Amino acid sequence: MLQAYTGKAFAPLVYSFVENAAIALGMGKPKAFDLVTAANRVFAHLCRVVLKNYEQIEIRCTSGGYYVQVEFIFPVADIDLRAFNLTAGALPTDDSESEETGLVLAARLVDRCAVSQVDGRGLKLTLLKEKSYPLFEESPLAIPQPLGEFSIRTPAAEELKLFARLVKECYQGQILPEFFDFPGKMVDMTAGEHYDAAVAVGPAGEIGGGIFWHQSGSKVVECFGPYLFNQEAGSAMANSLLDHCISAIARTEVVVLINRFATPELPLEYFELLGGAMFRMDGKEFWRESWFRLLHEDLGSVAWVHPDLEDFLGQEYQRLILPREIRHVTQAGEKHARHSVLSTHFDRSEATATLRPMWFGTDFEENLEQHLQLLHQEGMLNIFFYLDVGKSWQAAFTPGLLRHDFKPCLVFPWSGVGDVVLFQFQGACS
Amino acid sequence: MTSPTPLDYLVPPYVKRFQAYIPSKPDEELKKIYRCSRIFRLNNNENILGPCPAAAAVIQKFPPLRAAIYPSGDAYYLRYKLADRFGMHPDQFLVGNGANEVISFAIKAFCQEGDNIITADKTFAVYEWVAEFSGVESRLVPLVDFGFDAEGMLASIDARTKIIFVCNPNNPTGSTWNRQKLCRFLDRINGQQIVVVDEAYAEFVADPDYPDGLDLIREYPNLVIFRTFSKMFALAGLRIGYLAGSNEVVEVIRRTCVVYSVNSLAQMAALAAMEDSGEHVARTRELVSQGKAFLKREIEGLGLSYVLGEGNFMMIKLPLNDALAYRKLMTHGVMVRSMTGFRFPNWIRVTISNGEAMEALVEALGKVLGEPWTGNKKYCLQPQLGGIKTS
Repeated sequence: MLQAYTGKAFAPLVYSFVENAAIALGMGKPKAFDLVTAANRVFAHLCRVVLKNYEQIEIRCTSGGYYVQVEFIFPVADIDLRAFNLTAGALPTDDSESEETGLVLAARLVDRCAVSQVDGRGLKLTLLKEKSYPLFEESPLAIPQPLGEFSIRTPAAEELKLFARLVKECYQGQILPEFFDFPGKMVDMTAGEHYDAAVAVGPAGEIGGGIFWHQSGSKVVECFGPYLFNQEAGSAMANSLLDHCISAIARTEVVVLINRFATPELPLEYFELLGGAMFRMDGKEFWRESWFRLLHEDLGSVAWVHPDLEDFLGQEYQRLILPREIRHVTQAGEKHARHSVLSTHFDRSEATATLRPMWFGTDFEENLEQHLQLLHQEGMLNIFFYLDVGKSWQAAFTPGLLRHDFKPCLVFPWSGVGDVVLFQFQGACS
Repeated sequence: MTSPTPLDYLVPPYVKRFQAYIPSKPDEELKKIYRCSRIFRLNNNENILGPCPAAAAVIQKFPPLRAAIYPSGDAYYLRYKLADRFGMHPDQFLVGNGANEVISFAIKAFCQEGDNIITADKTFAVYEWVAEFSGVESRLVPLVDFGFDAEGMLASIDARTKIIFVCNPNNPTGSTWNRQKLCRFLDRINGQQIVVVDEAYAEFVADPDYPDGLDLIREYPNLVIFRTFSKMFALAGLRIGYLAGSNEVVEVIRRTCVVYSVNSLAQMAALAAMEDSGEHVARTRELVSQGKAFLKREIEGLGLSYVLGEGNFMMIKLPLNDALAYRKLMTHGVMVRSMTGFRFPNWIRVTISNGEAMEALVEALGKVLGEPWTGNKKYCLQPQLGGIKTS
């Protein structure tokens, strides 16, 4: 952790700190260079645009096993929040030299760039860069015979790598999460806090199947699989793998288990269908469904909803039998901030960008248009907007979203403070 | 305005990791949420008959002025009554605010951070919870054939193992250890750990070979027995339970026992319940026996698997997830326990109750199973989401 001040004199110190920390945390030099460059751009942006008065900031470098992240934490008093939009470098009112400045370049150099609020401390800007891993080895692989007997357990590192290779081998042609291409990365992911795996192992140690899952936020776990390798139809293995996963999280804070990469072996009786969205990637289009199950009894909650969203949300709650009290949020002449702030999350492997609201302002629609233009330039084909109906102030984004060809496609229960409505951009970027 | 409280520094890591249990909302709130006019409570294994007449009379006649006076700090008369009933010394009993509180007493008395307790993975959750938020490791041994695995638990013992919890009958599977199995287990432990046998449902057991744990304390001074007035004696709303053990073990546990935690009305009602002639127990057993026979027949008729052991409950395996089943059944006014939290995904546990409640459950289950649900492929959602452009 480094405490520094937003002055040019501190730039070499920040550079040196991030570089040394990234290398010490196991990142190779080329990727560390990207991260350092991104951190430099962010620091310069903070100095020049956000915190011009020599403010103290805190910089943290941490490892998540398969990634290194740099966090900038700083107070928010008297700052122009506009500067936290990804599009800030292109705004005509700041003093940047071109569009290739500010947060845009930083975001391009890292795998994740996000802004979030830190209770009592201000704002946090996070840059996350994954380490380099070799692609999985395409060498001949023995597919296991159907297993009459098996037990479920946590795989050792080499078993996990073998599991990843078997998934690639047996699920060719299916959309798989990108990490299956990098078995070493999966090993590092499970060595961190939030990822886990289980495999079904035969008497001689054969791996007949497996499941992978990770906690996303405090209330949600996403699972991948179960994947079965040459097992007979009707095998109990898929259920056993899922039982293992659910048992591991059943007595934790997690409320919801979701699955967005369903395999044909997914035991549907364990899940409920949330809905789906059409994805575009590599010149193709495919429909991806999302499934969920609650892990506890749903005790109900409040959904703060703009009237324009009520029909969709009411129907979804009725279909999913989710006990929700829908409360209208309408404008009653109150004053709003001039500028809105959106946080952007890129998943470049799927040409997908997700926008999350940070702050509502009357310039939201103009800001959204700028984001759409930028995301189009960045090659994003799938653009989503997450709206948390547990936060009443987010309801104000609804009319602008609908006017700009965003349509609600599904609801993720308990995925924010309350439920999250996923909007997908339907229009063509220009 | 004061500075923000530094919770990150103040809260121990094992409390940070722990998630608070959020109980169900009151029935009146649930009725509004699920839009049902009445609720059959089949989720908590309560006794639909209510307290026995003697306890009911005590409750009805409780003088309001007694509410202004502290109760007996250590449930003096109740401990003497228990001692008299079971042929033990009053100091061998500790009374708590429900059996949950005596679990906490026992863990605090024997365990410190770095120690461990052993229990089953699929049993009453409170042993595991109290251990975890006390910084004590829970070693969870998988059930075998829905029953506690004695060998598995013995194999999990190490130098830091302090307490082994056996739920007998097990909640939620109803499995039991007979006297021979329990004694053999205690012989193998050889007094080196505290063995807690939770007998919350002992009064429901019909098996003549079921061991009376209190009888075994003289032979096994490391044995601690938990019992409750919440289940058979129908005093769940008053929160009263107790533990019993050898003098030397109970003397240690007493050091961590919070006195005055059991209110006067609970103590008086429990005392009255013990003085009852036993007719109430017989009536309850008869109701449970009839309810089990009915439910077994009906659940088999619906083509569902079930586990039906001792106790006033039954576990049913559903062809849909239990959290969805809970919500659907609630819309029919039937509240069950969804079992994912017990690590039995897609199972529900239902309390054996009176005929009206059992019939309501069966009718609601029939409706729920007859409806399309979103996990069923026949119920295709995609065409309904016409807002998405497909090309």
